[in-house]
Amino acid sequence: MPQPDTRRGGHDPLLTTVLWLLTGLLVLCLFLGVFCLLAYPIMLLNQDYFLSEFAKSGIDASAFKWIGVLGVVGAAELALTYVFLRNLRKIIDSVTDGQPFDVLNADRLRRMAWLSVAMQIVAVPMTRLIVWFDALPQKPNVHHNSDGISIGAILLTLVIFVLARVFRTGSELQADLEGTV
Amino acid sequence: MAIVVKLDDRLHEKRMTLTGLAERVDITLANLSILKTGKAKAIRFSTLEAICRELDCQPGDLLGFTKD
Repeated sequence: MPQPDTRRGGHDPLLTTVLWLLTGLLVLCLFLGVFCLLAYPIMLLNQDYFLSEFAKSGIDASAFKWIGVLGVVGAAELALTYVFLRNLRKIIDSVTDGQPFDVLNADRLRRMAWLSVAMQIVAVPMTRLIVWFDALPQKPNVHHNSDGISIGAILLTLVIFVLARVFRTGSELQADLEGTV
Repeated sequence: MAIVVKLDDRLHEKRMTLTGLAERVDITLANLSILKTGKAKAIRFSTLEAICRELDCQPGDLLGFTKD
């Protein structure tokens, strides 16, 4: 089976597709991030309307301020995701350029691993808030057990940490190879 | 402590240019220049063999060791 050409100037359909997908996700992150930050201030301007709607639905008025908290937490999660995806995009660019084993990519992967840790930490309060909002008004028969912690995400973080080490060793080998005549 | 490349001396003895050697051993002039100026990190046995063959010398004639 022929391998895709990933050398300098090479065209790899998979990488091209991922690049397009990443571009879309980056735009989506920006859009949703701005929405998260602006939603609560806009709601504040129409606070009376929303509080009356809450009252009609039987939701306590104290829930209103938690929408603001959710907006900030959501924006933080999206900001982390945005930086994560930007780093991934730069790594893909370096693969397209034929220079993947660069110490910069090792640094990017290490950064992505820590970003992934931060994303999981931020996901905990965010998930709790979403679950809490989802259960409003109190429904006695609805039980949510989601705590925002995902085994898959933890494994992904570990894989990225390992890949960062692999790329660092790879970049050292590449440097040695470049100095070999 | 350093490894010294004495390629220049050997080329001078043989009245050969770096370009001429590059053509004979089929190694790029840029790589030979890196070797000559001591900027190379490593040398392949195949490269060493080719240079020794063309300059009619031993590896020890091309490389030396000095204490700084």
